This record gives sequence, structure tokens and C-alpha cells, in this order.
Amino acid sequence: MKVLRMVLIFGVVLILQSTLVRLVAIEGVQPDLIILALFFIALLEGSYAATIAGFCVGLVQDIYAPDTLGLNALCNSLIGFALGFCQRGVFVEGLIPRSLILFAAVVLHDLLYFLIFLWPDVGSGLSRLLTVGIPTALYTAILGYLIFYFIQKKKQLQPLQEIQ
Amino acid sequence: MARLAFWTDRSRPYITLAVAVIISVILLTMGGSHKMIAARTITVTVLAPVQKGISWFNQLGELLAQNRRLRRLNTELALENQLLREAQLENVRLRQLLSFREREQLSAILLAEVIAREPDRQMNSILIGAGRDRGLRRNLPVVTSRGLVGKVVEVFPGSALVQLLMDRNCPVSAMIQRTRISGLLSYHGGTTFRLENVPWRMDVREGDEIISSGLGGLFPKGLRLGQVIEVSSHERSLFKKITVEPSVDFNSLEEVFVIVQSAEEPEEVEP
Repeated sequence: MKVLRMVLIFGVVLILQSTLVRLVAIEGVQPDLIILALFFIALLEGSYAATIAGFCVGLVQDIYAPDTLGLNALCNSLIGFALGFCQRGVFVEGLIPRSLILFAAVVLHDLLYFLIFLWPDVGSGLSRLLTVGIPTALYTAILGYLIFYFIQKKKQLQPLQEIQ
Repeated sequence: MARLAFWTDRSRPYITLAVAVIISVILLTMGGSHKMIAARTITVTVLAPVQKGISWFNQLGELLAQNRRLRRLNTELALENQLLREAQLENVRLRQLLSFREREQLSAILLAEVIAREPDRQMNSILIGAGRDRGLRRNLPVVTSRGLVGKVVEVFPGSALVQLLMDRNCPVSAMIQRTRISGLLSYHGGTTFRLENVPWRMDVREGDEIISSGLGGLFPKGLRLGQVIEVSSHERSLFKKITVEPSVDFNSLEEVFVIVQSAEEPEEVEP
């Protein structure tokens, strides 16, 4: 059941990422829904599930890349593992620390991705990180912050509704 | 036994990560084997109808504005067409005079809408809503009215994967329209391209138009590629460093044309 739920979540996220996300792009910068979803999987299920989810979703992403089969799978499984490890090792409760971890996850993902993809042209890799990776990380972190905020609000409201 | 079970349970995430990394690295080095192409075909065929449906809803809102824009464009093109007909007749006369060989005519162009983009930020490929059912095959050039977009790399029953020029592995034999100097246009990251293999003595200026040279055998001659925005040459280098701004905006592709050639499928250009 858990696996089915994960497949469904990532199916929806992948389709949204490849079609509708460009509608909310700001100056060409789009949020990375896949890492956002990975963050939630890591938060709820831990690093084991997040690594597997990262690998599988990365593999599906790679299907669209003619020459870099395996690159997204590699980056996403490493990020899934790191996010799961973070949730376990560091007690992350606040909205801002969670958003910061999300920001760092996108930056790390893009650093790995661009360095491997553009290897040996390290300069271009770092330039892409600055022009694409960091704005994307910022956008994703802000979106994540809003989602965490709404989840927290909903959690706070639930007991009140039960009392009423 | 209990200790082993405890150890296995604790190490499970690490073992999973190691397996994932090893498989990913193997895939990265494997490239496009037949099994991988089959897996790609199945996944894209399953996902394409859903993506097509969402794209359709997505495009409804844009239809009115697009319709207005196309009407205006239609009028402009009709006028331009009249002028071009005159120019074509003149061209035929001049070619006959100079005994030039008639250039091979393109048998057809096929309109296809972009139904999905690569779901990461690299934008190396797009998925278009025309495939084997409409006679598409590998290596066909894909263009827009602004210029060359890329080539078809995989064909599925109702869709096709197009490798964009914004991919390091999709270089194009190009030439400078003004001086007819040849070079190789390729992507090196960022939003610009580089025209390589142009000797430092050659006359290249900012603003020069870059077109396809047709030398690779893959893309027809004369398709617009971009414009020179920076030229520099170093003392120690034999070649100029030429930066080119692409004529196509790869981030706003909605419809593309596939040039269906009558000639046999040409050999792929090695990067």
C-alpha cells in the first residue's frame, strides 16, 4: 500500500514537473517538485525509502534524457539518502530549518548534476549552479516553507475542530 | 544470528545507497542499449497520453491569444510569400544561367505539438505528439519558424523524443551566412553556443548570422541557428572563440515542425 502511494505521488509529481510547472516559472526558474516530494518521503519514511524512491524517480527522469541515462538516478538516490539521514540525525522541527535543508538538498543535487553532466568543464558546471541551481533551490525552499506552514496550521486546527 | 539481523537492519540504507549508486554508474556508462531503448519506449508510451491530456488543458487558455497572433502572422506571411515567389522565380532564372544544380526539395514538413519537456532543468529533450503513426523516424530534423531546434532521437507509437541543440552531444555543422566560413556549433552550458574550428585569421563579426551548412548530412543547408554575439581570439590559439546566441527560444517551444525528408535516413554525426 505504501509503495503504491509512493508510485502515485511520484507519478503525479513527474507529470506536473514536465507539463504544468512552467506556468509558475519566474524568469524561467521553476520549483523542483521531485526533490520536494523526496523531502517528504525522507521525513515520513526515512533514508531507506527515500533512497529507493530517489533512484526510481531519477530513472524515470532519465528516460527523457537521450544521453545521460543514470545521472538523475544517481543524484536523486544520493539526495534521498542524505535527506533521510538528516531527518534521523538532526532533529528538524521548525519551518525555517526544514526549508534550509530543502534549499541545501536542491543545491547539492544541482552541484552533482551539473558537475557530472558538464565534466570536465567545471567552470560551466559552477556557472549553471549559480544561474539555475541556486534560484531553483530558493524557489523550492519557499514553496516548501509554504507547504510546511499549511501542514502545521492544519495540525494545530485539528484538535480545536475535534473539541467543537 | 540476532546480531547479524541487527547489523543487516542497521546497514540497510547504506547497502541500498551503494546498490543504487552502482546501478546508476553502470547505466551512465552503458548508453543506449536495446533493452534501455525498449524500457524507454514502454515508459514514454504509458506516460505520453496523460501528459498530452494535461498539455491540452494547459493550452486551451492560450488559444485565443495564439489565434489572434496567428491571424496577424498569416497576413504578414502571405505578403512575404508574394515577395518570395518573385525571388524564387528570379533565383530559378539565375540558377539556370549559372548551370547550378537544383537543390533537393523537402518532401514535407509535419506540425507536432510539444507535449512534455524533460522533467529536470537541463532541457536536453522534448517529447512531441507525433510518432511512428505519422511516419516519423530517427534523425529527422526538427525546426520552428525561428530556426533549427534539434533532431528526433527516439520514435514511439504516438510520440517522439527530440534531442535539442542545447545538448552537448548534438553538434551541428554550421557556417557564417555572410562569409560562408564553416565551423561546428555546439552547446557548452548556459544560454549560448560556441562556433568552433574557425581559424583566427577568418573574418567573423558580431551580428553575423549562423546557418546550418548541410555538411553533416543530417540537417539541411541554410537553417537558421543563431547570431554571433562575441568574438575573441587568443595569441596561443589557432582558432577564434565565437559565442553564438541561438535563434530559437528553447524554453518557450509549443509547436515544432519535423522535416520529413524524401532521401534515405542519413548517418548520425559523431560528436
